[in-house]
Amino acid sequence: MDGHGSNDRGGLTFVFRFLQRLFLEPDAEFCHYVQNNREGLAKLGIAVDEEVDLGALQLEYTRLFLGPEEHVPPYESAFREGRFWGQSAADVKKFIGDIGLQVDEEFTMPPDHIAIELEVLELILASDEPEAEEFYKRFFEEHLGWGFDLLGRLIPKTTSSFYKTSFEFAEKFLTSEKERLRA
Amino acid sequence: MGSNEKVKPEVITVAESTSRRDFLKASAALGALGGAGKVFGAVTFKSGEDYSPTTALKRKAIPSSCWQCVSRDAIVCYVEDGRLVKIEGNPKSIRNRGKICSKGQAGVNQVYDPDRLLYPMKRVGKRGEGKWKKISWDEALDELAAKLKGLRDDGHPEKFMFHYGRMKASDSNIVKNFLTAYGTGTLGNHTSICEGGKWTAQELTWAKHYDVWDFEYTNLIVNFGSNFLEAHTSHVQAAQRGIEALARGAKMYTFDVRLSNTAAKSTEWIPIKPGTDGAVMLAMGNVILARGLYDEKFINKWTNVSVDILKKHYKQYTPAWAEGISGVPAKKIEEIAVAFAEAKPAVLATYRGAVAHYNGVQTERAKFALEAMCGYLNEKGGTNQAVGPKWKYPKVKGHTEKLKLADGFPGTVAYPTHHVNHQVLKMIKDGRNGRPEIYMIYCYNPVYVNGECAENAEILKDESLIPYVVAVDPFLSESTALADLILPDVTYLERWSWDDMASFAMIGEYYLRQPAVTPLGETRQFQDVVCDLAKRLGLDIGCTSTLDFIAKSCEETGLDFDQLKADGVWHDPAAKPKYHQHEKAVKAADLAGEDVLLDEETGVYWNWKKSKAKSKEEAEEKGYRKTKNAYKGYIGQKIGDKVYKGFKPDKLNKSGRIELFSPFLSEKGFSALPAWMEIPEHQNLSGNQVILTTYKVAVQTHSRTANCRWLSELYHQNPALINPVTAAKFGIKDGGGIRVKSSVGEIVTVAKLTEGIVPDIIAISYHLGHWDYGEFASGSKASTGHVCVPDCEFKWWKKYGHHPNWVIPNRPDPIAGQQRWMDTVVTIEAA
Repeated sequence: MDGHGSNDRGGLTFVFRFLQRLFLEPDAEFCHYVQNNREGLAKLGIAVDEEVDLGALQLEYTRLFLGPEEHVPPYESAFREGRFWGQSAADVKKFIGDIGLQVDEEFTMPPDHIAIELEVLELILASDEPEAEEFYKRFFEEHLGWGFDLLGRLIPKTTSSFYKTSFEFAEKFLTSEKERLRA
Repeated sequence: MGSNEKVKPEVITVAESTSRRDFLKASAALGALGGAGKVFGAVTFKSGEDYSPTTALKRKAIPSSCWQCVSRDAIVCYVEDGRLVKIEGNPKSIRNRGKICSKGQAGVNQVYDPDRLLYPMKRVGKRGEGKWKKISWDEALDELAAKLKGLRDDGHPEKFMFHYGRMKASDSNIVKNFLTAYGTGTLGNHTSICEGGKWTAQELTWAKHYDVWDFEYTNLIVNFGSNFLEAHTSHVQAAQRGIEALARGAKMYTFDVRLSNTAAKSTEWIPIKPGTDGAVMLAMGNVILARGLYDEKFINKWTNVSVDILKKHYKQYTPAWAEGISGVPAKKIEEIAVAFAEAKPAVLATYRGAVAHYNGVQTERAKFALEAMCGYLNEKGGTNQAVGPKWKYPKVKGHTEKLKLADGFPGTVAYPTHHVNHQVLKMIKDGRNGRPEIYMIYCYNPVYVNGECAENAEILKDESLIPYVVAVDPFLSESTALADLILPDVTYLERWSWDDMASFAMIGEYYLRQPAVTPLGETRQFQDVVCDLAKRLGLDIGCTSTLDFIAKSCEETGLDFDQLKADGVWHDPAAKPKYHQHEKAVKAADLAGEDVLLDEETGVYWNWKKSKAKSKEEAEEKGYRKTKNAYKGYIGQKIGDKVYKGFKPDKLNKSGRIELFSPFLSEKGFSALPAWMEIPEHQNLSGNQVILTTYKVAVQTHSRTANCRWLSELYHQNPALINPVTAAKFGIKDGGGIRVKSSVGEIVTVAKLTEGIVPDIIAISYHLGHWDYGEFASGSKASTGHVCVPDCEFKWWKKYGHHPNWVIPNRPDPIAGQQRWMDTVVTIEAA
């Protein structure tokens, strides 16, 4: 994709992958990565406290995203339409199909999960097709707008400095992409 | 950030397809779709099919079975691109005939409720504190299986109590096979908060419960307290046939304290004081007997009393007497009694409005007495014994032990044949009959659905009373929030079951529930979980999975599983409606076995080996009435020199006749003949007291639909209905606050003044006032609530109603143990 310089592309791929993992359930690999990259993450403004461990990350992730008490399901339809599998999810599914991809059948939740939407952007970014930038812009503008609302709920809700600073990083990233695409 | 290779998203959820197209081709495909609009003109919509309004493509139709309420109508689920988008009635069903209600259509909201429970959860804070850890199914079931095994190994399987709310047909049989194999008989259900008193009355009087009203062929409907056009255990079956009856000229008289929509559609609404339906029915009997409008032949042959006995007994119940009690004019009672007797046939409908009272059993018996007097029972166009499918299925037999928690406090209920489960938590608190160590709730929300919510929550929260609570639920109910372990169940639209509701077509219908969509998240059908638990515990429960059980059931029953999956329903095309079931002669061969006895006292032929008698001699000596479970061996009723199938008993050793004289009742000190029973608390109310009654509307169920967005958008406020005359007396204004206090609690709600309710009572519907159950039901402890600040288009309402159960005591009627929903005395004041 031509919209970013080649150096940027590598950086963006990292950002997309990091954010995907951030919004998916933490596992040992992710926890290990976070624990071992304190300095690199600190450069992005992401704080990794000494007490960050897998159990704590999982508990906080459950509280934030899975419930069953007050939580914030990271699905576009939940935000825009107050339901799972709304039109937003159908549109994301269709978009994914239109660009020649498909959602893994083992994923039993709707395809408008924020991590999937970020993965779609990452995959478009990796493409050298001439229309990639247009598709990137279209998908970002049609589907990522709710990401700001999501982060707006998550930042005050989390009690973890790792999640809080990571969400703030995500917010900055989405803002910069939004401004770049608007320019 | 040079470490990006270490952050590979292993959980990649977008996989490359085998035929990846390039973007140009994708764009071309998008362009091509523009022409699809032309197709619309060519599409003919018809029942059982549906088309996408955006693509005009035919939607995938999956026949299944509703489960929004116990009616369980046959449905068709329409799926577009993997999403459930619409639900309609299955046009192939002879029961609901292609129709369903608003609740059924809103099932889509259940599957896609953003507050669904999607993962097994284990409590990590204090019980009820709201702190949870997501765990795997293996972790959850290993923990549960270890606890279950511990109890069983200690010789106390009965300390595992399984308490279910809605569990029917194959869902029930699989779970009960497991419980039997495990060895616990400590089961709870929820029938006493439904209509258990009605069923016990029927068992005392005519036959195994469930009265089907043959509106299709009736000439007149007299209705006491049933709002069947809005809510009923066979709602859509009854409503459509009832409306058709009215359309062809049949009249309907509805006695109710409230102008329900059923009353409004009736020929006449007859306002009546709460709990006095029985007095009016008895007076109707008085009129019919006094004027000679009865069917003497039917009474003599099929009941256990004579016309003379009835005349003598009913003489006291004059219309003038009933007017004094019920407020219904004596002339009106006479007019309706005569119309009822002359209609030939007529139906006398009753439900909770009539039976959820202290005197409900005698009221229901008075209904059957009227129908028996006129010979309307099992007649075309009258009240009939239910007809349903006769599924055969794998059954597990075994010895079980139980804690006696389900039948209320000793000596308080005479015949709790459907139990007193609204008092289970009280019984556990009391402790005299033991306490479960594992209390599992399935499709049941005891904190919310019973009276006395505050005490229920207090007991369930107390770990010293109940050490381990497991909730099987698709949603975070008020009770599930107090669990230690949550097992997320699928919704009914992701479920496999065979089903068996009674048929108003009077022909049994076999039908199937099958998943419209793949279960969301990590939810699992509980019946499959049970099979998994059985495996962990080394128990044989007759099946390895739900599908295995259904396939075996189809095979044993002689049904084509594939056909059922394709059509959703099946009935024998050669079958005829089953009227006059009691008149069927018993074959001589069935009376010939050496275990068959003729009981001289009742005229009942019965097989003593199916009873609890230890020997033939013991059975002969004790006789049919006195032998435990003798009714299980019932074969037929001798009348004259013939033996008929009769009115087959259930739960009690009743004869095959209609027992208008009940020896069971006289034995326990109640009137053996249908009789008036005053409601003690309703006598001598003080100046600031009124009677609180409850009711249901068309678009909600008792506890499991307020999370449905479409339904709560329609109905999210349940004000206290009050007559303007009563309101004026208390200075209560329309739309103003009203404080309602009882012996167990207090609520403040909003008053709605209406002449559609009798004076001196208030009425509050059951449905609302959740404090859990997600955003649409309660606005709290919910996910999307945080999205909806301050407003959003998908949820504009901010009111969730008030739950009356905080002020309703958990009191059983003295004969059956029915929860007395309609009897609560409260004080009211403006607030």
